[in-house]
Amino acid sequence: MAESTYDRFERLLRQAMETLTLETAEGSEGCPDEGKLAAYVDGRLGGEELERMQDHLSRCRRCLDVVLAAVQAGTASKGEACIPEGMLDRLQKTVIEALPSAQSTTGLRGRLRRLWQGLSSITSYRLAMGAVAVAALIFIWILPGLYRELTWKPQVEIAAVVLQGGGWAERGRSPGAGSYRDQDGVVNLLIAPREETDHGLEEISLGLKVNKPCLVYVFFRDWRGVARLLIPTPGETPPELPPLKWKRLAVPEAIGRGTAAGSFIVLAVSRPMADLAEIEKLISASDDPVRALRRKMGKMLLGIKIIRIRPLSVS
Amino acid sequence: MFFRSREARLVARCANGDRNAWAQFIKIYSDLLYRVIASVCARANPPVSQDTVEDICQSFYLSLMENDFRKLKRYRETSRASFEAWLRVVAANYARDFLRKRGRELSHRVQLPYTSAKGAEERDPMEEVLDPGVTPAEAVGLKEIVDFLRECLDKLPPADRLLLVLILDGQSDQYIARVMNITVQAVYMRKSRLRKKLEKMARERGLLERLP
Repeated sequence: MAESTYDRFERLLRQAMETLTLETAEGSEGCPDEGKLAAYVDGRLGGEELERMQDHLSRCRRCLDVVLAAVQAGTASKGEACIPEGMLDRLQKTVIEALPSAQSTTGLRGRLRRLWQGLSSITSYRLAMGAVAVAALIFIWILPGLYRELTWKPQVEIAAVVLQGGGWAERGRSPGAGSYRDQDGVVNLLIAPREETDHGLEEISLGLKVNKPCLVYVFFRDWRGVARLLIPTPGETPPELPPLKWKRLAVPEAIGRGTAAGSFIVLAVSRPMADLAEIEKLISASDDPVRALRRKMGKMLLGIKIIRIRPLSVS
Repeated sequence: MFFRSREARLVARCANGDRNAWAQFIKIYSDLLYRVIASVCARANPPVSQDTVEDICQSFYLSLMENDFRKLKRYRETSRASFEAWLRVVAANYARDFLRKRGRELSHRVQLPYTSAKGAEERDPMEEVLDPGVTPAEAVGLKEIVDFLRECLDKLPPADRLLLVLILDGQSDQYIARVMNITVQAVYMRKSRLRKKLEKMARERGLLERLP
């Protein structure tokens, strides 16, 4: 069969490549280091790095030979023991005998050395990075909060009573109930049930007295632990309390739908608070809101009072 | 994340001269090293014996220990390559140098680089091609193709250039796929594209018409 033009071209092309020897490239300063060649063999180069490597391999016989051998050895079928019999033993003997300072890993000293090696196997710079991160966390987040919590002292004493002037929401009638504080400090609201329907308690007021002038915020944390701001209503400034005078603050909405059990949390502060939603979240999320508030607010929080309430039906 | 891999721990122990670690290292990696070194030696010209392969293996291990394990300590776990790939590359490099020092070159179909280094004495391609197997008419064509190759190899993108070198080096498609880290199907496709590209370049130059 006659050779086509292109086949002839290809044959001559190959012949030409063989004659194109001008000099054999040996490793030069421009050769990539072993780590980079190994990354290429592992298929971990991409983009420009891969192009540069391909460009180099197509011009440098030395690096191409190394890559060819490394690829060929790496893709040999698994489990294929091609090492001649007895060679492994000979290598073990020669190489281990040639070790510069023979160190044993048996016995107590050996075990201690192994332990030390295990500990030192933690990469030093990663350990350092971890230590810096932990230190930064302690300094930035934990320590200031801890300091605020531990050094916090109440500046304002708050006295409080719960007043109930209304009744069930539907009727608007007074149940004629009062309240008393039990031995656990829980304010029990005495309610005469008139209706089965429960829309929560209305016309609740708090009577507050403080020893120093301050602004107050009142939150209610219900029996599920969900907190919401009651006083002031959104957009209004917090009420300012005069010293040593009882002041009645009406709770603007019904509380405790389902059950009125929960806690009023009264905060005395020096200046208006900016992010009230965050305080609501903090009170809701924390098992110990007093501690969390101390930690968060520090000296801005002048005093805090928790009034737990429980509706008590009387017939 | 904060701890080294198992193989990096083994390497660290070896770099401390731990005998047990070395025994383990030899057991794990000797097979691989033997394959790498044997693959380099297979292309030695003149050929080398089985004993030479073993000598190089042994000598390579000793080279890892020299100067307080300097070579072994060159491996950085943070590099993108696995330890095994790094070891394969280092061993292949070592075997090649070992053979060269003993006057053994590796046989190739393609010598690189194909462009002369600056200042290097360039040989006349006509002298190279004048062998009994080539007719004078072919020799003229060959000279033209040598020039053509010089020109177009520099114009080809790196991936195509490497592919052409591997093809002309006589490597199989499967092997080219592994070296270029692509599938065999991709090799077929790229070869076909390359063939068309070269043909087009040759036509533009009027080379195909002038072939003997």
